[in-house]
Amino acid sequence: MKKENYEGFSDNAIRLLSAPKGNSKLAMAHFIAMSDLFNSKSNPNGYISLGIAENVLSYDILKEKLVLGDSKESGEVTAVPPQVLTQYSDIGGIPQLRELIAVELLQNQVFKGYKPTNNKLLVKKEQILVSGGATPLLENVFNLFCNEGEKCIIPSPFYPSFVYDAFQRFGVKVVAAKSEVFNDNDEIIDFKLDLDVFESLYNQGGVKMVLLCNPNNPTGYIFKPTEIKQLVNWCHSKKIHLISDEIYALSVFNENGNEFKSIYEILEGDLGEYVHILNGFSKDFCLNGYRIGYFYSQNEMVFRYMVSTSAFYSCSNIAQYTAINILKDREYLERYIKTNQKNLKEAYEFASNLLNQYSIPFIKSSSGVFLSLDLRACLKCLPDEDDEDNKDAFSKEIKLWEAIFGNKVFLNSGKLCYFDKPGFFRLVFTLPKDFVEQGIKRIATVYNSLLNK
Amino acid sequence: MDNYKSFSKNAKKILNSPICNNKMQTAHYTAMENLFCPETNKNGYISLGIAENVLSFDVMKDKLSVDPNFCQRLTQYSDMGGFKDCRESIAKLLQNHLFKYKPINSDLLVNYKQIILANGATPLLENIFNMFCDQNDVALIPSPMFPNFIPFAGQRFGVKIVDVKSEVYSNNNDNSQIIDFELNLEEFERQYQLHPVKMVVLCNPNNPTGYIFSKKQIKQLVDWCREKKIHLLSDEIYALSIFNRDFCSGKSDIGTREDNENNNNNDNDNDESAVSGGSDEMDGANNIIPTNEFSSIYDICKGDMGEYVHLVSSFSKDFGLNGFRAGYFYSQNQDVLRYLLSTSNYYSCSNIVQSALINIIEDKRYLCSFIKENQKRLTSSYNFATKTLDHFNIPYLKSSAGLFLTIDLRKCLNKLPELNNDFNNNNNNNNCPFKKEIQLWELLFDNRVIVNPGKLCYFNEPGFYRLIFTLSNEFVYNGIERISKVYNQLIS
Repeated sequence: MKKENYEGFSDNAIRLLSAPKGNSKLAMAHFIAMSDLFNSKSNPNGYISLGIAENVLSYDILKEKLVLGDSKESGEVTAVPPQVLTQYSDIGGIPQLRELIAVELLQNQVFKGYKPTNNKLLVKKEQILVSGGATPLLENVFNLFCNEGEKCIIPSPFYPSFVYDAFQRFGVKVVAAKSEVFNDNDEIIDFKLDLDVFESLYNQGGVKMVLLCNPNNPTGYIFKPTEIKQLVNWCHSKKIHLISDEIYALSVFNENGNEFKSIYEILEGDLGEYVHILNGFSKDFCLNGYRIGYFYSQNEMVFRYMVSTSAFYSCSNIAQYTAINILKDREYLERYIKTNQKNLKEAYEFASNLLNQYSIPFIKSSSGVFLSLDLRACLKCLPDEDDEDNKDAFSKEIKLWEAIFGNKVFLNSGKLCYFDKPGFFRLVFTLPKDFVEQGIKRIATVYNSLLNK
Repeated sequence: MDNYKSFSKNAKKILNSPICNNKMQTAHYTAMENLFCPETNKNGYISLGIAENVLSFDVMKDKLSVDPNFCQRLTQYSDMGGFKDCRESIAKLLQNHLFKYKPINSDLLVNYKQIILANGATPLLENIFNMFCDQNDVALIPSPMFPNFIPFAGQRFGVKIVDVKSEVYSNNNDNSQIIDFELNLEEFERQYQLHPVKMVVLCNPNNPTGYIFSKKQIKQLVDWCREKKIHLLSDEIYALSIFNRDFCSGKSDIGTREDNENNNNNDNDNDESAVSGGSDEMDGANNIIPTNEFSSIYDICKGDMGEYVHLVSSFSKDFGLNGFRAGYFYSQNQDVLRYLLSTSNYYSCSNIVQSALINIIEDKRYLCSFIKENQKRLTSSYNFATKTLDHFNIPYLKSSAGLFLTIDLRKCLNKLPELNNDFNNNNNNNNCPFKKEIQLWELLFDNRVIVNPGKLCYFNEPGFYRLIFTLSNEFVYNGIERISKVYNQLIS
């Protein structure tokens, strides 16, 4: 085997390249699945991936706004002269887009029209930064508040990539604040932002910020406004910053759960020095491939830092003009959001009905493109690990994941999301019905056959 | 108000950095809000400061307005590093248009897996600095150079740039005339001994001068880097923006590189002996800077770049697509590729841009004619600019490529009035040799023309300014006229 030669690399780079490779099947799974994809007619035995958080349900209604310039098909001509697209646009984003994000998207939709009495607290375009996706924004926010080795608290379970976004290039550590609430039967009945947990993590030292993803990935849970307010107060008392990642804000489909309120509304428009909002077009608008993110803060220093380093994550003009196209038509925007939410709700109900049919437990979801399965019951039916060294709490979860993948379904394992206990898996349901149906059927086969042993 | 006590060291450093000259910082924006227009705003600003090429947009337009490949797939996540077909297209672009050499060993041909796409060259450059250098490590760059290398390296990762002077002066003790640029290995070695050097960046063709470095010297630099085991990054962002010499002097178009394959065995260095001012009839007598022929570093290495040589470029300059944000990296080093790929989430290229790029590159006939036409227009604009400069008796350094040339206003620096007050808002600059250059810059700005001061580019001495000529003739003429007003008034 060729010796790896990191001659001339920085510590940062060596650290990354030397990181031990995890379960390689897990790492390769997505690609294996993509190269042998299920098709109900031509490839019924192909893989079904329910692992990627993409929403393809509303493409047909999105389509009309995605084609720019002279379109011979739709006959639509945009007012934007294409040459402008090719040249440098303003740092921080095209002013028209910043304005539309401030007013049409945030104030009117994400903040549900909430307007504080103090005009100064209305969202201004000068407080909006447009970026090439939410990912590089996140990375830079970690870098903004934390030195290498310092920490960010994130309620768990959480979106696995937070860990890499923080750590890869800037060495910032994520620490998980467990939020699951179990009843006496060991069922997850709720999630909560437990300040005792936050306090004990803080006391271990090095904590410089908190990140709250609400609505939450992977559960689709919406945190309670009262708890969020208390968390904000706690952050204030420690003088640490809070980022509210609201990337699923418009993907709420379940009114029975907690009502979603942006942190802006919870704080009555006064974000102050320590609270900032991060968002993007990937999930709510199904445009992950376009790479459009945005950041909102009322803290001028924070904003100045993010803007002065924004050359490293600029958003393509074509993507920006697409976003302008979507946002400037208010009637269309409202119709799109409603339709998308309806599609999400239908898809969720379809998936949850099937899961109930097969008696597969899951955590009720209120938003986003996913729900979390609770497959703990069959973990004990798996054979014990012989190798003592390999025995970790999640080793059976991995075995179960492999069994499911062996039956050609790809799910995200709860371990990556820092679930408190093994046995949870994230299932994405925003796919065509035959995919979801087949996928759940195959999961059921594995699950139930294990239970029946 | 907490200020930024709670920020990281990285962030504090950026927020604390002094703003050296307010006027310069906001100049561009001031100009944009009050732009020159021959009909409606004769007194508006003319900026010759932004390196954009708008000359060939009408040739590009057809490919931009309708994307025949538009489909749902574009809205979804694509592969890390870019769509396979986009990477393949760029591999072809490199092999057929940037590179002339075709190695016999097929392993050395460009493979799509060796290409990484990004949203511009900027974040790629930043990450490459981070990849090879720890905080406070040094990258050597020949100067004069592209100013932004410094913040790309330093802003978030604290990597330092040390410049290696490349100006060559004539021996006339009277007139310190720049007659050439060179990659002086003694200088490189000297700086290498003084600093923790981990890499070298070579921008060729060069910004701000448009100079093309000699193949021989580049090869020597490659050997030097390999011997020191430090990495060399070749930034070839202006590789296709080379002026057409024969077109300059009235001969027929030389055509594309493919047409010239008979001439392309690189063992002879005939290009070095060319042109000591003779064949470029347009240039004034003082422009004896040689016009070297461009070869990509791939060609210079005969296709075998090995472990230590890498290439970065983008679609911003050669194709005038800076607003799209489309950059790419090419290397034959697997570990380098692996690192850049695994951190590529932070600079992924928008799918819709990738699709537009494929649309442009895959139409071979279109691509060849675009490149040719763009070079023709660049050459024509360069000629117009130099003729105008000659007309107004403003000295300049001959350029061979890019969107710019360097004007030489040294003569009038001594004629500037002495200023008592510290107008730079920065005490350090009272004795700064570039104080007069800044003062002259301000005079030009007050006369509503913007050029970039050489100080930012680490010119060896004050008085040089970068002038962008890839604009309409009207802009260029009026801009140079305004420069002349200031310059000629001072020296008379």
